[in-house]
Amino acid sequence: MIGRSGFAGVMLGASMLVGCGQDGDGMGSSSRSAEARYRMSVEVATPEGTKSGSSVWSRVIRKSIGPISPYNASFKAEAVAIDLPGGRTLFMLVKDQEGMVDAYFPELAPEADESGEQSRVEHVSAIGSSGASKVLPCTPEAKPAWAGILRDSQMPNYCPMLVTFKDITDPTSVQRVNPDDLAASFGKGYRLKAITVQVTDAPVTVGIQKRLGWLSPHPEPSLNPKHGPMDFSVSATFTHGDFRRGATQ
Amino acid sequence: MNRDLFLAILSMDSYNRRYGQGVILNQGDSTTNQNEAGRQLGRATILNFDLPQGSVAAGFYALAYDMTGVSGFAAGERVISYRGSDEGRARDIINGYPAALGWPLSAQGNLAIAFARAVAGADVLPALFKAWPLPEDSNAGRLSGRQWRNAR
Repeated sequence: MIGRSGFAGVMLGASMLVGCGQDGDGMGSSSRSAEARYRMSVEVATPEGTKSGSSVWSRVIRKSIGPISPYNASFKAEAVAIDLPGGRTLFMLVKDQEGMVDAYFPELAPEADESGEQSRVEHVSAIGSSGASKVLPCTPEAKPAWAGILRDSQMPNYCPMLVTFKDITDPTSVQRVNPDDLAASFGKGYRLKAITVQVTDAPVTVGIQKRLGWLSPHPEPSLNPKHGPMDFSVSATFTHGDFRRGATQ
Repeated sequence: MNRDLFLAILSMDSYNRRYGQGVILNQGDSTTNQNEAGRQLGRATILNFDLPQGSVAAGFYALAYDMTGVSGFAAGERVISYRGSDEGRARDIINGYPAALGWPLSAQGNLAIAFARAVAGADVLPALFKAWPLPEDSNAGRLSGRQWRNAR
């Protein structure tokens, strides 16, 4: 198997080896690697007041040595847990979030070079040193005014997914939570107030294993590993890796 | 659509799905805030098979499609699309590039066979793949993982 950029790298490798004299990806960055650590926070309005939770995630990107591939990336993160009244817990997943910090802060992207490329290392470096904070447009209040005139499929959609469990000791009892309608999952008076990203120097958060004792060190298994190929339910399609990515355990 | 063209599209489609995906598509098309399994590409449906344990660590990814209703394919025919990952490039180089270059000793080779067995059933695989002993945890590999499709 071979990654997309690796495939391109193999095809272009020979020509690059004979010496175009450029650095890795030819984007002229002075730094070969960068890390952005950022705290993902969730606030929920409940009948007993606002409840919140947060978790620090890390995105590292490095320029590769040689022509095979321009970048080597890693992502460490655990789901954000928000304790709610009545012993329920809301989780904001890490599912599909590995490269999203770039999308959270598009305004920090560097200028494109002559070929139209933007250095991903420089972008992550700029984010990591920015101290920036932003409320993500994942709640009705935070969505831009023009969102209402576009079909859903035309909206930029990088908001993390929310789930809860009927029984937190049973992974097959997982349920999706509609961010626009928390009341449907938790009852009257519950509402998602904000999802915030804050760049930080704090260490990556660990410890979700204490909440989810069934969590596997392997990210691949689904929450209901006995599912069939045409079972598209939440427990059949969500995996242990949706709650934890990278070697945070 | 021409069968070979559809297969070519599916071979690239896996690059835009799940972990390490190359393109972030919007809601209604692909992964962000969406499940992959059950989604359709034309009439091809993405089936729900778990990746073998050790796939992410080895930079391995695969998708299986049900081709029922797709012109040029039999009802119930399944296609597998494999890829490596740009997430953790070094893992992909170590575990997958040898297979891509024809060297049979690769972790991704074992993972590809394990996935194919789950999707197609061992009985319809070529004899070598059917009989190949896989380690319980497919992190270590020994056999070729070159891209191939399997129909049943």
